[in-house]
Amino acid sequence: MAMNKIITSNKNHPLFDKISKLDGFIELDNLTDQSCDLLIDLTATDSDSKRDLFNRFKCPIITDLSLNNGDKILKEFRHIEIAVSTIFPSPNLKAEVFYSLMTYKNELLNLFEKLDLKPVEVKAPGIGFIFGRTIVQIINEAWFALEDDLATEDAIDTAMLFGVNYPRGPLSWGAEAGLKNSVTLLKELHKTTNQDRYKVCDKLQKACL
Amino acid sequence: MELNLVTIIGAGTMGRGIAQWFAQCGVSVELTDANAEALEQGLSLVHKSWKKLEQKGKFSSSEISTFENNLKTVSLNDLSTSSDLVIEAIIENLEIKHKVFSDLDKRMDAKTILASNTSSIPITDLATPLSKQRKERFLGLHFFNPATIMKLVEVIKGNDTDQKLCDDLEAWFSEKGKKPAQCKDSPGFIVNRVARNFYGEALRIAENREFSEIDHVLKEVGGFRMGPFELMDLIGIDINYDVTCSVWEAFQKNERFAPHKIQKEMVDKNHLGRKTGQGFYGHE
Repeated sequence: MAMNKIITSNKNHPLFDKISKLDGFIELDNLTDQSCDLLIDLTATDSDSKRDLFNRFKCPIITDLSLNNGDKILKEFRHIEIAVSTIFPSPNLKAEVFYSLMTYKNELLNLFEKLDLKPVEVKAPGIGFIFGRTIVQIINEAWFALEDDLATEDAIDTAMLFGVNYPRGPLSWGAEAGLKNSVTLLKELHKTTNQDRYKVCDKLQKACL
Repeated sequence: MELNLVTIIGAGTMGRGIAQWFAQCGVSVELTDANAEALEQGLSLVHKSWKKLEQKGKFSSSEISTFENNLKTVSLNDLSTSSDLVIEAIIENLEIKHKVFSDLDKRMDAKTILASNTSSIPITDLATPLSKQRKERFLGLHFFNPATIMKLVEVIKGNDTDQKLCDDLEAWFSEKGKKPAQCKDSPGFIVNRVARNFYGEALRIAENREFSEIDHVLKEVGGFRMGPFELMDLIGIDINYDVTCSVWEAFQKNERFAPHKIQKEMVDKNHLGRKTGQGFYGHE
């Protein structure tokens, strides 16, 4: 018997166009409480909205926790079997994957193939995974530099591309990931650690409005 | 803008790399250093680099001989006073740099542009001993190592620098294949400020994860050529820590730039990276 699988996402996800074409796709806003064998949640949203969803669906879940405290969420929701991070664009088209259980590994591999992504297995999701947490801080600082009128957007991206060989300029990287997503992860880091190093740059915050 | 003669002060890694790049651009270069032995060694290393590039087929032998003719060494007392641009690339010490620039201000023609390759000292502070006219022709030109390969030049405007001079230099560097980025005179300029979190955040993630996993993910997923821990081992953990502390102090100890305790612990243990055989990784 074919597995009843639902794939959901929202427009904040930079890969939304691709995801929305997958079999079994239902946009988050249209998702009603219904039974299924597997929920693949690729929404780009804050942790409270994630918790709502995980409370509504008790089936096994593959979820994107790019913007969330994955370590904490996995402890709260034992039916999450795989956590992934697909929101911050990888120049190598790779994404971090954490397997809590391996039952749906093939489903994950099929999904990644359709999204043109290759998995890189990690030992824990942490907060925003390794790549997201690092890049969001670089993006935030680039916005602080812009706020301080240090240089133009072009000059900031040029400097990082040609001074330290970054694969993308941080400001265009942030735009590609979605500015709202950077803000959501920074707020999660700030809330979790209570450290001001994660305070969102005002100019970045305003740019999301 | 025309730059026919450029003078580079300091024959260390940065100075000789900058001199080599200008010579390759067809500009006459005078390279000088307070230490005659270091100056000769600097020139010899540039010549060796050109030999290698010739062997690799990057340049023809006639191109190399042109480059060699373009690059001359001179003693500090014998600098041509008609140089179009003087770039200082010596030790990061404000007092010593002040002495050098004060002397250059008196000796060089009025048209000569004076520049510093400093990565950490404010340009406006460096300009203090200069005459009013020279302050307008004084700026930061921050190259990246290796200067012949890395395309970025940060063009840093001090409080009194003529904006047109910055624009003209930006255009000149662009024409010669560099990627100039103009910025204000602010701690760390662009790169040393924005790049701080590549290390800073990785160090915080490392509280619960292995260095090798972080490096692996940032290379594989992030597309960075080296991971932060490999890079700190290469640069020198002490040097990276010094830059971190300097930017942090300059930003009134803002938490965004705070050094991590692991950095200090590594420095205290003399685990400085490749140069001591032990850093975040072992280097036998």
